[in-house]
Amino acid sequence: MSEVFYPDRLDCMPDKRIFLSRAGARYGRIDESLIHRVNELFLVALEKIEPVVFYSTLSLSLLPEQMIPSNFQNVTAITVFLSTLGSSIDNLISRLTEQQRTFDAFIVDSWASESLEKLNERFDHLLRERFGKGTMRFSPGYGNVDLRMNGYIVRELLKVDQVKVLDSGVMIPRKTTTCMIGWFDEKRRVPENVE
Amino acid sequence: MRREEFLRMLNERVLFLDGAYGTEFFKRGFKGLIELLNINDPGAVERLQTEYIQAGADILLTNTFSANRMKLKAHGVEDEFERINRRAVEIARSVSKGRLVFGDISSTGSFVQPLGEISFDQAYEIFKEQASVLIQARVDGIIIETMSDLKELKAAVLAVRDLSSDLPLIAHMTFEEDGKSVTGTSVEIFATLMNDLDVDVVGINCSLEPKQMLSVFARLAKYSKKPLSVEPNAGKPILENGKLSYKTSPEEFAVYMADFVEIGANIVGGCCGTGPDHIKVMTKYIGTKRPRKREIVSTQHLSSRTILKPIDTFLIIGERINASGKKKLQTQIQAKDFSNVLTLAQEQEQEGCAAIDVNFGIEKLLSKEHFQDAMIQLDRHSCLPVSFDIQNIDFLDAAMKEYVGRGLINSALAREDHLLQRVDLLKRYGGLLIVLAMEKDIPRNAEERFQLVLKAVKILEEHKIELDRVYFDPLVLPIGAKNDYHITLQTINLIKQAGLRSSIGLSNLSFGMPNRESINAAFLALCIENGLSGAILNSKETLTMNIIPGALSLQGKELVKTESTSQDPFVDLIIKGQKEKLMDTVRELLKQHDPLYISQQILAEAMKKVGTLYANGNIYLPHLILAAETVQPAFDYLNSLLGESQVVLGRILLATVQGDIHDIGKKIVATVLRSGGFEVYDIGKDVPAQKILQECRNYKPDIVGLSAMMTTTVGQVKEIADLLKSQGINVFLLAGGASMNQQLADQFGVFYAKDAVQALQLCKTLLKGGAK
Repeated sequence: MSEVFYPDRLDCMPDKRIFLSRAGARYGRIDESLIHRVNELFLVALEKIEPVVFYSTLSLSLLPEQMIPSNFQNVTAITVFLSTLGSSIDNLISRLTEQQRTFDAFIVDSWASESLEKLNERFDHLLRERFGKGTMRFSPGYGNVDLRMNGYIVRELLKVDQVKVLDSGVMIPRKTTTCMIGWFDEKRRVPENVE
Repeated sequence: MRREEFLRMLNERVLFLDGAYGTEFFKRGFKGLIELLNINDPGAVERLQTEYIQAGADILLTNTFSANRMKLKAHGVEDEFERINRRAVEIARSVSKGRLVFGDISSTGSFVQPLGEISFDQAYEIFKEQASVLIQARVDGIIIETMSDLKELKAAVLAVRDLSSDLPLIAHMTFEEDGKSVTGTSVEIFATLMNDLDVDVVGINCSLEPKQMLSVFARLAKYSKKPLSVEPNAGKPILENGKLSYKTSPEEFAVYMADFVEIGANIVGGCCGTGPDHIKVMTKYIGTKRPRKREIVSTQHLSSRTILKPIDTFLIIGERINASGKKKLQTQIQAKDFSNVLTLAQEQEQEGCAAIDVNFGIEKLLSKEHFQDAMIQLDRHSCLPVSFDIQNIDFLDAAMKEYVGRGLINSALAREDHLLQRVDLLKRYGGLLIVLAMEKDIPRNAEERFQLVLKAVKILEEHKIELDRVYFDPLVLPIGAKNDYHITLQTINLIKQAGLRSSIGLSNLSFGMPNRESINAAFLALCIENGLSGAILNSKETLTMNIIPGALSLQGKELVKTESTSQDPFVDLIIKGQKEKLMDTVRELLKQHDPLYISQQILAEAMKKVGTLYANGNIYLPHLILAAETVQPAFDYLNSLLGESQVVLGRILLATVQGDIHDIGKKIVATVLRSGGFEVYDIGKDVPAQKILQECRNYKPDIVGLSAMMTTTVGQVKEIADLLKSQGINVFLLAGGASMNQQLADQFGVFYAKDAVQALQLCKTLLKGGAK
């Protein structure tokens, strides 16, 4: 069974510079009316998300070989975690698209991607406070780990019902990621805000 | 803390200010004057300030916003002045954990003359006294907040600087959504004056929530050369479960505060309605950021309180307020009758001048008060920026102190002692300067004059005066006395080649000659061709004025056009304060119409247009007050002719609610209502509900108007409404003031007026409708 971390909304508030850059815009160059529109969308999106992180820290030997990134050498344990913003934000993006509000949908989509990244960074930080020195954060679909490993992670390892994994490895809700961090010296320190 | 150290900090990263005190204490159940908590319940202040530190604030403000002697006196706690201020610093220091503690100063609660009742010197002394206690108690800096009167802010800045030239100083004003303060000063006028004054940081706070403040702040960022700070409100207050709350969430606040940082804010914090949660989310969301670089407007401007004039293309200064040789004007000035000065000022504005030269000539017969009074009158009539053609340095000082805006000193000699005296005034009060290319005598040739220009440049640079703030006068001598005008042209050319500005006193050229206008015009065209940047001239000379745009257009330049605020000459008379001309016009109209028709169909209609101009932002509070005062004698005169049949639209009782000592707004409303035909009884400030009830029984008003400026006193409006209703007092209840809004009024069951003009319109509508 996995453990669960419920973040504050503040943990999911992305830097505007970055998510606007993701959307192809430069924060410092956009005009004021656009800033107001972007901020409104920011706040609507922030209201919609239901962020949660499921995670489990295991000994390396308990994981299938094809799930272990090739650069995770000399690690003693791995934390596998799934972060999701929930389905409401997907619904919002779909609704905006259906209403022909393409700009809004595009901005919210970029916002949500960066919001998820912000959440992952925050959780990454909390894990490192707990476990000390570790590898870089790694996600299936990169390097030698196939994206389809998501199915195993979600269904078998973390046992997360709220997230559906397609055969392709793509996850629903869309704003969901799986990540892994390998630990060189598993100290198992337990900061209050993780457990 | 030294200023250099503070500025270094500002350069390294964006700093965070704390949030509100008054509204936060109110939310926590405290009532009354919250500065009293410093001595009666210091633990409450400690707790809030500790929460702000935990939220990530880098700068704590002392709980002294309303702790100047004038405000404490109004609350009956003047004796505690020193203890309240001193303890505030001790409390903040005790919890600051090494963060900065800034002494917080705000308005006296009254505008400075001419908008209010206190003099500049009184305001200055009040601020100096408070700043002195705060500085002695060892604050790291001073912040002056929520000022809506630029003159009052100037008094506060000078007071602090006269106590310490070494302490960091932040100067804030508060603006409406259109970027103007209620006194009509634009954010650009504020920014450009503060560029000159000895403050470290300029900013805006209060009145607006973040999304409304953003565009105002963007304008500040464009014009200010100083580091910037900003503290918006968390929205307008609303009543929830009997308590006032603010609708802007910490998240929304933080998202917008990031935009302020992106635009160039160096310090961000919160004003009314913000609390530790707002500050916490803001500090976490923004994190550690270096301040953004800004693109700042490099053009120069002159300004009065309400008028900003760009001067880079060509500066036209009207010369006609010159009492030399004008016996009648001299006598009037000596008697402090400035009516003709004002008329000349207004005419020159119409003629296209950007500034007016004020030369009283007979300085030996005058005193400082003459110059102070003249500046007050010019300000009261919202005149153009002033060129101070004043020789006596004490008089010049007095005039510049009283002046609101960025004026022009006319002039300094290129002699070091003479020039430095004027440089000192420029540094103290801001503005621009004309330097004559002469010491004791006028050099004979252009090269010698230019050498004096270069000598002055060296002195100005040594004293860190930017050269684009200075005009050099190449000197124009009468051709009638066989002077060669080519020397002036050559000097202009040399000044231009050196990348400097030049300005001349044009009319001197044709002194004693026939056909002066054509000579002046021809010479001015030659001067412009040689690179002249400005001239003091007779703007009544149409030919002279007309050649300016033509000569400039040959150089591909264009003068910035000024638009008249009103197309109606009758309205113009009223907003320019021309009482006598208005009365003359009324007397003339009486030959054709009856008094009632003039009163209701002409004067009242003109005032309606004035109201529309104000509502549309074409004119500002000073104009509105002046208009109401100007039209009142005409109404009174017409009413006296009507006798028993005079028109009184209704009876209105006005009061500022208990616990609130602000009454300038209420007085303005009273003036406007009277000018609109109402009988007004103003029963003062800090008035208990029971007293209002009693006066309602005495005066039997149709309407009761309540003013509540502070969030901590706005709840009184509901108490009064409930009391009057329970006692069967059948009146319309109208409320206004900075802390009121439509939503609150709806919740309290009263009518709401944003300003005096809305109040007038509403009162008329209510009494037409009948039902209360």
